Amino acid sequence: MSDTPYMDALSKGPWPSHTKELKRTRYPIMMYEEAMKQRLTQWGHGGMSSVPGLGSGAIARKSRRPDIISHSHLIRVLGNPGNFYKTSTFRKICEIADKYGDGSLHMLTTNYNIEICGIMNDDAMKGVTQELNAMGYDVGSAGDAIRNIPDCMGPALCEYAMVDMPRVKHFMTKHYIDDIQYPRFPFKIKTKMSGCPNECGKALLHGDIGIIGVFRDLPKVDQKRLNQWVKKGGNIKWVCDHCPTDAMKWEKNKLKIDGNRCIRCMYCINRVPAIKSGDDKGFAITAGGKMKGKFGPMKGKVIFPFIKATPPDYKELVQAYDKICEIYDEHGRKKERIGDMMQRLGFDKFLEWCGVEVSTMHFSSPRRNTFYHWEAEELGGVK
Amino acid sequence: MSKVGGVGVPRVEENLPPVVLKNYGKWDTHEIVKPGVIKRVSKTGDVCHTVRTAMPPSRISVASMLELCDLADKYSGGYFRITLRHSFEFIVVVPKQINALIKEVEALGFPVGGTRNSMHNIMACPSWIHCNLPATDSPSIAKVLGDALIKEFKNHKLPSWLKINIGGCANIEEALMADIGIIGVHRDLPIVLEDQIGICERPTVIAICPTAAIKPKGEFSVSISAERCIHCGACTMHCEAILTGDPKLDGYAISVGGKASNTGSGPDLGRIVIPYLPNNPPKWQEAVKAVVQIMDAWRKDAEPDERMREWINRIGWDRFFRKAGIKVSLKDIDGYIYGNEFARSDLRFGW
Ligand code: HEM
Ligand code: HEM
Ligand code: SF4
Ligand code: SF4
Ligand code: SF4
Ligand code: SF4
Repeated sequence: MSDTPYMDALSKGPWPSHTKELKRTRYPIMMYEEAMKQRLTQWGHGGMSSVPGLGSGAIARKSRRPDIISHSHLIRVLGNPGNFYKTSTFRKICEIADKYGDGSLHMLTTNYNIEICGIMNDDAMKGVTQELNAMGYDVGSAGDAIRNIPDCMGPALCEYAMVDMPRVKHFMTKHYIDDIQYPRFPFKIKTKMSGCPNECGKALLHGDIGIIGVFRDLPKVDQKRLNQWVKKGGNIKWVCDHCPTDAMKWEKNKLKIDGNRCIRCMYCINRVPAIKSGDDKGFAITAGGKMKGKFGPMKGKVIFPFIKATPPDYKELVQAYDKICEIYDEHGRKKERIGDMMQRLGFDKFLEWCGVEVSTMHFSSPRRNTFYHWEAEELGGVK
Repeated sequence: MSKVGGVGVPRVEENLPPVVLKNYGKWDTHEIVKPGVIKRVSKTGDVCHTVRTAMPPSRISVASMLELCDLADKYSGGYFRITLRHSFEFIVVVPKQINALIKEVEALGFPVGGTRNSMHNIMACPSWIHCNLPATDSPSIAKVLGDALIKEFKNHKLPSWLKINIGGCANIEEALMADIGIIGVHRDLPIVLEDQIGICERPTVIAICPTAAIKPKGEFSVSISAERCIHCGACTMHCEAILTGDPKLDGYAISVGGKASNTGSGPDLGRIVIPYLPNNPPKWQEAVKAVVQIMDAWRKDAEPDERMREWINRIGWDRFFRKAGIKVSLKDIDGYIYGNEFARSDLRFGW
């Protein structure tokens, strides 16, 4: 009889099997088999493994089963812009993973890093890092640092992109590389980016800081192309009916979009090739999205509804991003995520510190209590 | 000691196929040729066919990645992409070779699909493979769900797309963002290792508990109050001397209706509709049953193009629970900080 009945059961069937994959590596498979048998993980506490000069690169993981394996560390390789890879370089990453690790990869983590798993000692961790560095790749994204800054494929392959996310990713990673590699914040900062409000990158929901491409003017309609599309069977009435704000009117072979109704939701643009986003494009910046932490799962909140995308130095983006990080650095409590800090301090305070001009773009509705804070100067010296 | 690292990431240009680089920012439309195959058309008239496959949950071997690289060399000029749902995508495949590629990559064990109105690739965290915190095992649940729903992955017969994300504990950032999410749930109190608790500072772990359940005990230890603990896992994550409790009591919850896109009713996190199901490897029959039940109710009742959340918004939670055959209990009422916001303050019932 096989000594891995659980893993064997999970090796069958049409879906790609992680147990089959693990068996092709030097991963200590009894750790996983035992976990399934006992319904309890066999791994112990994790943390940062401090390797001189390596910053935050390595995640240490202890074992509760020294009889199987003593420990197993891993290194996170920052994912490529747009997550595009070339086999010639990727083969080298595989080679490094095989040489220094147990031959298993996590492709990709929820933060879009490649994890090289099963690294056993400091020298191997340095080896991985040095070899990766030599080929232009880098490690990090662990501990209380700015984590990897994942993007969507953006204009590289997507017609909806409003900003050039793969290049923004390259810029942001270079600009913030020290903060990505050397933890200095109260807790981690996950930054997520999407090229448009379709939000493939789940930046608003997921990001401690979210950076999302948006447009301010109305969707542009190419009436001639639209008519051709309709003639070929395109169902414009369906699209009009499903516009969430009833902003679209299709009359006499002409489509009108009502500027008093449209909320730039992307639906019509996604459905009709003749409708494109407007030209007034930029970034929206959100903060505070997360799952874990004191106040539970939270959606991100809009902090900067619109800032210009200005390559090559993305000045306004950097200013906005720095501002949020600074406030967090100064006011965040140990192991408190940005969203929890905003909740504790008050969203009004947070916006005030961010120095944004408050607008209707900052709330889904105004408040319903009168529990304000008044400053002395607002009271006209009465106090 | 000199600093290693600090090189950043490669420029995007270095990893783009020539056609993609040439048409950067010029893409105009796309169409789904068939499940898993997308054709993108540029304003210049160039086209780019991509072929998408499912990936094993959480871990893949170097050996398999190299085999995929071989196929990328043969069929897509040595380029590929990992999608934001961790699918493997061959980019710029010659149309005539698409069927041959599909045959080869499926023979390797990577089914092609996961586009448009199908179940997309399933996302899962490592859990029991390499984590100390899990209450359940995401990769094996993902695997059995993939096996059970492979047909939905390979065709476009769902009302809209279906995204399933799985996390082994409340740490998971992805589960509540999917149409159906599975989240590991601990039910026992964390265990304090009395002989080890002194290794770090007590104030951190006491301050980190959201409900002030952790109190100093004697000079060196802490105690955890059963009345206050909400099993959030913050202490077990940050303190080496506090372990997750009895594994026999662990399991997972199921959420529905997470959605990131701004179309329809806009982005929102999912809501948890099943508070607890028991861990049952390797078949995880309770998870498969619950997911299929929810998916079938949605498939039967939703209008074309209607995501899970939009469907629920249209019919209301009253009818959702009824149609999905899910029993409501006190566990569905949120008693946590935001709880009152989700209580009902209208009489618009869906009897
Ligand atoms: C043998 C000596 C020491 C060891 C092994 C040690 C170890 C550690 C470890 C493991 C952490 C946790 C890092 C994390 O949050 O993940 C930490 C944090 C910290 N240590 Fe030490 N430490 C040592 C000495 C010191 C000294 C001498 C000081 C101050 C004078 C100090 C101040 C701090 C502070 C302020 C933090 C919190 C940093 C933060 O979380 O941002 N440590 N130390
Ligand atoms: C051998 C000596 C030391 C060791 C092993 C050590 C270890 C640690 C550890 C493990 C933490 C907790 C980090 C975490 O919770 O993640 C910490 C935090 C801290 N340590 Fe130390 N430490 C040492 C000496 C010192 C000294 C000498 C000072 C001050 C003079 C100091 C100041 C702090 C402070 C301020 C924190 C942060 C506490 C908080 O914000 O919750 N440590 N240290
Ligand atoms: S977020 Fe927008 S730009 Fe980015 S890939 Fe998705 S649809 Fe395209
Ligand atoms: S972008 Fe959205 S709201 Fe605006 S017209 Fe199109 S579908 Fe309607
Ligand atoms: S979600 Fe929880 S169980 Fe899964 S890897 Fe993260 S901490 Fe571990
Ligand atoms: S699990 Fe959460 S609520 Fe319970 S004691 Fe630990 S930190 Fe407090």
